[in-house]
Amino acid sequence: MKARIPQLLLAALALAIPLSGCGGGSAGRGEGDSAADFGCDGSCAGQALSVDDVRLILQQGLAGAQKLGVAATFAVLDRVGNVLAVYAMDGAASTTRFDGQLSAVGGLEGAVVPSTLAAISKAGTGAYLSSQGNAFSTRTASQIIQENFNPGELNQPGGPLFGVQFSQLSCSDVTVRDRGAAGSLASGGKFNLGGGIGPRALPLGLSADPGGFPLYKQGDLVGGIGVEFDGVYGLDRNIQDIDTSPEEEVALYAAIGFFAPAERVASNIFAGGKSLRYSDVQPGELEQLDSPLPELDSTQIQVIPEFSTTSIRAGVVFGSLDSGIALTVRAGVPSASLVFSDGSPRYPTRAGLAVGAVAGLGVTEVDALLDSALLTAARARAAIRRPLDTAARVSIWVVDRQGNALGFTRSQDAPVFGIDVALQKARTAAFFSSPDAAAKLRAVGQRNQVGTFDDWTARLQNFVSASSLSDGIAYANRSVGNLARPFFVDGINGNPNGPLSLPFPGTTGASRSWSPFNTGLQLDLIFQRLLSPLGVPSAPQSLPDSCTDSSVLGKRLANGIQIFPGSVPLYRNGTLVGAIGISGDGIDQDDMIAFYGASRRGLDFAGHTDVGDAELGFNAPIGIRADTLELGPPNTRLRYVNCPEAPFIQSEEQNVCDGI
Amino acid sequence: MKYRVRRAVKCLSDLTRSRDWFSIASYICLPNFASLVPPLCIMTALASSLPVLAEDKANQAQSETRQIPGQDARPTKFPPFVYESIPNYETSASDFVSVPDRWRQFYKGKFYDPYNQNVLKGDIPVFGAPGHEWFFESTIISDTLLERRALPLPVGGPSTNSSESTDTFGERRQGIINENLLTSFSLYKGATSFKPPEFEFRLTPVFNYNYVDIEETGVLRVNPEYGNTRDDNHMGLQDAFVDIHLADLSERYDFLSLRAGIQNFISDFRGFVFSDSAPGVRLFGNYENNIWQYNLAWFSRLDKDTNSGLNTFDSRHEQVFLANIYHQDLPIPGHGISFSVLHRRDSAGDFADDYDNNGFLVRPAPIGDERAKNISTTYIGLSSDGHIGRINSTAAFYYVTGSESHNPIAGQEVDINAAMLAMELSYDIDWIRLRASFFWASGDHDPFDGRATGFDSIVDNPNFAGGDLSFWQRLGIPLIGGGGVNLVNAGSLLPDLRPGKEEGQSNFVNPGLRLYNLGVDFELTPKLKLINNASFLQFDNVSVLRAVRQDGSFDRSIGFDFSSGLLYRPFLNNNVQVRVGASALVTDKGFENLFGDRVLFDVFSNLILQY
Repeated sequence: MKARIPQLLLAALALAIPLSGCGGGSAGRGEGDSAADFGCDGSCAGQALSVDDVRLILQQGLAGAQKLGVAATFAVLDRVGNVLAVYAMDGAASTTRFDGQLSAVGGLEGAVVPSTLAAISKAGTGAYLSSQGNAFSTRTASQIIQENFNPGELNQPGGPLFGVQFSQLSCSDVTVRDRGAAGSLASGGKFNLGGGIGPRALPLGLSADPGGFPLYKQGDLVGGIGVEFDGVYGLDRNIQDIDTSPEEEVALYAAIGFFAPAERVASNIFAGGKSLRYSDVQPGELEQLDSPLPELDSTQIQVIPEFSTTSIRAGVVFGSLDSGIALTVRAGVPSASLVFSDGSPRYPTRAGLAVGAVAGLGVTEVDALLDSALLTAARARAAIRRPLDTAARVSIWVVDRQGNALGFTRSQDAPVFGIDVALQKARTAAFFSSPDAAAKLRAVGQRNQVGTFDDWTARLQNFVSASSLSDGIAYANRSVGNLARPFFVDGINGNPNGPLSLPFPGTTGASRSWSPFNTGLQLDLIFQRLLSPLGVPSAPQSLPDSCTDSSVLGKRLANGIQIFPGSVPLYRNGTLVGAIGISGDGIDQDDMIAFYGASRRGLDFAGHTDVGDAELGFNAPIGIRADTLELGPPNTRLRYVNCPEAPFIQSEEQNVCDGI
Repeated sequence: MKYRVRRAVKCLSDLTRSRDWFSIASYICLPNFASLVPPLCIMTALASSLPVLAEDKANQAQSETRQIPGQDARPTKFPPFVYESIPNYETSASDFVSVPDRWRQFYKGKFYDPYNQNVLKGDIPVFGAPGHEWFFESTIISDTLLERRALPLPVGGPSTNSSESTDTFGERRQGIINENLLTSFSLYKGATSFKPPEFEFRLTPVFNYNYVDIEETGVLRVNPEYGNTRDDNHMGLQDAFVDIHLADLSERYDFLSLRAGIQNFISDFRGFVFSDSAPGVRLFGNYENNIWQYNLAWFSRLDKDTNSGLNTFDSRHEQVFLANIYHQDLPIPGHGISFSVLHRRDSAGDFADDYDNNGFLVRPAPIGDERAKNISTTYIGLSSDGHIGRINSTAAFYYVTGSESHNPIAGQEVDINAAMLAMELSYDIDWIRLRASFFWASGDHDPFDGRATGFDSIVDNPNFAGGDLSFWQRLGIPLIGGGGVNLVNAGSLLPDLRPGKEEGQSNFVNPGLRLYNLGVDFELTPKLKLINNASFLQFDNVSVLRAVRQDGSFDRSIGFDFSSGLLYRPFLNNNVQVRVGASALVTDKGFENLFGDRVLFDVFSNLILQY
């Protein structure tokens, strides 16, 4: 630093001449592989974890655990969720307990689950939330699912991915049963597709418990590592401190040599000006592991029905046919689709069901919407990716009013979690905007057997209006999310809960209280089918065909609802015909890709000038959108969408969603 | 006794003869360089010098000692009557009949008349034995502001004011009413303006009312249920000090004083680094016929009320230690140079999170990883002010070093190494003043490298390149989409990404600024002054903005800031002042990357009434 002083003085004194040159790229902050930046921005391909890689990761984890004197359970997954190995050290705690650290009552709070399942979910979270452009950990997930963002910052709205923990579930109809894994459960209606390839379920959904990281080779995301041993499956409530997290430390030991490129880690990525957490343990703090590394004991390799086998498996190359996600090009944009093992698309574009006399979405229209959204994403400035000014990468679903998937596409290198979440979002918007939603929600309530299924319809109607969910108001996912927070207005600590959520712990007279593991309607809808197939707590040992009661709801909410932004309902002449759901980038970007993509402006840009309404495209008439509703609390209203600042790359346009 | 009085008269005569008004004012409020209430000081000086001026004028013809412009000063010799006119308390009892004491010679006894001898204005002692009189001085200033403006605002997050708010940027219009009622009470022992007081107690409570009206919710207060207007009020104690005259150091009343308590202090001519009303202890004085002036001070800052900017009684957890020295006539007569060293320790990071009155987090700053921090910095500054021939010149250079224990943008501890340079040249042609100025604050070139090279002040309030008339300095602009901080705060030049200038902590990972300014001031009539400025602004380095806004396309240029201000003083004094101002920011690419491309403006009118 001393050497810089004269330089600065000189620079300052020579200021008759204006300074020139601007800042270059930044090196990143040493939470990943600082030596290497492979420049992967979605362009890298071909990497996968070999059996030897998995073995090395486990051995390093073992050595790290021994160094800390702990007995851990490890899981290594590839990028599409294939469980490559689960390994429990001798004496590792066999179970762990859900704890949102809020003393909340109800839902999954206090549920005891096998440590192996926790480790799989943690590893899967690292793999699913990340991409070549961003490395997110379970600690990142913890930061973005709580009642305030940042957690602990009072009066700020909830995390941007509030509710995402209830996705990638075993009951989802889009995740695929792993036929290569040991099986013991009856298949129920669960997908058991040709070859059994494709994105897998994570047994506990996405995890917020520190100790799960993505794994990289040559800058390409190849999977995730999860470590569980402390008996608490929780989250980080206080992000201002530096946690001492042995689980995280052991996971980092395991990941040595497979770190994310330093520039891609969450701490270099700012969401709304706030940088994201990656790890409270820095790689630089790790000690040298003793050589040789401890040998694995093959008897400690865990066989988890539906997830793993007795032997260590190699990961698949992401984007190869084996991964179930095949690369292609759509509307000139590098994209990908979900495929069967023979390469045929799982979700070929099809027409939606008619709504009374109104025709459903046609194949041309669905393709136009997918094109338009994909192109909007390709223009959009990514909010969660590095390097800066790369395009947003998302998963895109179009569903009809009955929740049937009409078409799917995704940007190459979009994070995998968005496949399930975008479908949840699309279905949520379609369902809540349907005039029969009130009746269906009441009906499904009678059929739940575990816990109390509150009269959510009545609560919503008390809060909004007596005709809610039967009046055809258009709810975007952002609007539903506003109602599904433990405070209304979202984030205002001390306010009463939104009508689709539960009272915050400490509220007098509340028998059940909110936590990230007890989110209200979202969890109630799926509670019965969430964990029971895995033997937790105890229930029929079969994989369900749907996360909700399909006898009432059909496919309408088959993989559960989602309560953070990124979808809009679709209309033809004022009649609801479906919805489009987006997931994978920032929530404002997801909103814009859905809303702008479905708009006249977006469709025209994509060259589809002949589909959709002349003014609105497929968007809801302005007068029936949820943001027009008058609510009880003064000066408040629901949001419909929020398009981001400086949304497009190579353009200075602002407020691009104005008037659409 | 006689000797002391003589000295006082002599001293003031010297000053009035040389028309050195700065020095006169300095005797009362030196060495503040400028004061919270400059008119207070100047008026005190003016009012108290009136008798002497009258006396002076009456004897002008006889005086052979008067300095003639353009010639060297003549040796000072007072005519004998100057001494003779002063009553001798000890011997001439009969004089009491006609002239009770010298304070009452022009006394009319009307408390509401500040233009004549007035007991409320420190013209007549309120108690004390002869030679040990105590004076009471009061001032009341009403400062009323009406303002309309347009600047970028976000739509609310979880709720909005109106439907169809589908984008991040909302309606820009704002209306503001602000009233400050400043009352200042001073009790001092001494001989009014004849020499520095021996003791002074001063209390300045300021009463504020403010009202803001915008078109978005969740901005004025964090909870959108409060709607889109806000009214608030506050009483702040801006002065509460005792001033002790420790010693006279020379025949010419060079002195040493100690001031303890809440006091206003500005650390350089233009307020670039530290300008605050804070409790502290300050040792100050002058030497060698006022050629040297110096300060040695310690301040422990108070937190400010969010919406009035006035003092609260809570600690800001920030200590400032400073020493400065000023030399007149260096290197040439009419030009002074000041050297200063300031050390600041901000330990707010050791205390609980702090939210402002509107419910927004201010410490730690809601940006980056939001972890708490302490700051330790040392500033070394050189500034100059004066004229060289007919060219007026002001310049300041500061270098700052130190560390932030954890910068939230950098996500780590950072070593600070930054600089600032300001220069202004002006030239008077009769009633026209032409000005050109340049300002540079270094920007950070890599937010993640552990080195912080963005310049930030402790708390600045610069009077430079248009000051509060200019758009950039007058208004705080929220860094929408970049955390709960402001790009630039009201009353500051620096785009330092603090959540508030007063309540927020300094941040040395910032984009810095380059400002190129041209100005022209017209003294249209003695009562009417028109001040015009045009500035071109650029960020020094946009790396930080790129990171926090997750946007790699930022351009450096902010835009053109045009402003005009009209100052009208109908009675040629400060008792009634009307200020009217208008400014506009014509945005350029860098600003448009941040907020869009619409012209932003501000118009205000300001009525100041003073008693």
